[in-house]
Amino acid sequence: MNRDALNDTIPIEIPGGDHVVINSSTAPIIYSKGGGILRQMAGFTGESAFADGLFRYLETHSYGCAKSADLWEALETASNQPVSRIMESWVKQAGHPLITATRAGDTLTLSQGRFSFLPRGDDAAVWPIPMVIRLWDQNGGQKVVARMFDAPSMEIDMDGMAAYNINDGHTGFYRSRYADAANWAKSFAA
Amino acid sequence: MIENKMLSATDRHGMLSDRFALLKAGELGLTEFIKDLGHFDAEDDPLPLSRIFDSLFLLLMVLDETGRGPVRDTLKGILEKTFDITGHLPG
Repeated sequence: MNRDALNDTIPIEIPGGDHVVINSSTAPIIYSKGGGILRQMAGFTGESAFADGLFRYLETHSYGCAKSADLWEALETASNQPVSRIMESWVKQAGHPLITATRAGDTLTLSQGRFSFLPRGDDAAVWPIPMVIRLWDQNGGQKVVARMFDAPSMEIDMDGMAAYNINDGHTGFYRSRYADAANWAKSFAA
Repeated sequence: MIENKMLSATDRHGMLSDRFALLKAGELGLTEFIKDLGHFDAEDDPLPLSRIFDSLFLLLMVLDETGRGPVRDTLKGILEKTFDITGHLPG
């Protein structure tokens, strides 16, 4: 993610079919980010559905040729989630998001923009982010909510829950910022 | 949830990684980051520990002497507690 947060980062796939030269500058994006967004997808679909999709992909294209879209299609069929739309966006869009969480009462507001170490001036980008959020109640009871976040902002009903983690298992390929310091302390340092 | 390990080691590592990235981007102050590390006093998992030591080492490399003071103190405190937890027999 560090390489991808630089202003001169590149997408995993360059639109238009141009090839990316693999070197020490591009490899962290192609391999590490590539693996990272597959892990993100597995976190969202669940490992079982993800494994089913992989088997389906390997069986369908055994002894043949395949392209990225074939894998997305197989994962989509196995998981019943919009994998193609999500992955097309993530492999063709440079950078990754910063999700800011702000809680007011029982409403958790999430907003997204591009994360970079230096200001860019075009931070208003939007990704279709498959999010897995864990919520805790006062007694330590918990539940996990999977939500697609594909707008500049989104609201989530906390339903009386006391604390939250907006990147459960840290499978999501994004940075998280808990805007309310008191809430961060309540959620994580309590 | 950090101190009582309700968050998994992966989550604790991820949280530190996000906080350090925000620090590097100027979105989080050094004092706040150091304060966050205070919640990792009882950390005994190598994954978050490696993130803590990597972050503090990088800070020691880039900060001036004034900034290094609190970083050094934090590093020493966490190292001592880590040795207490993991066990250490001085040579």
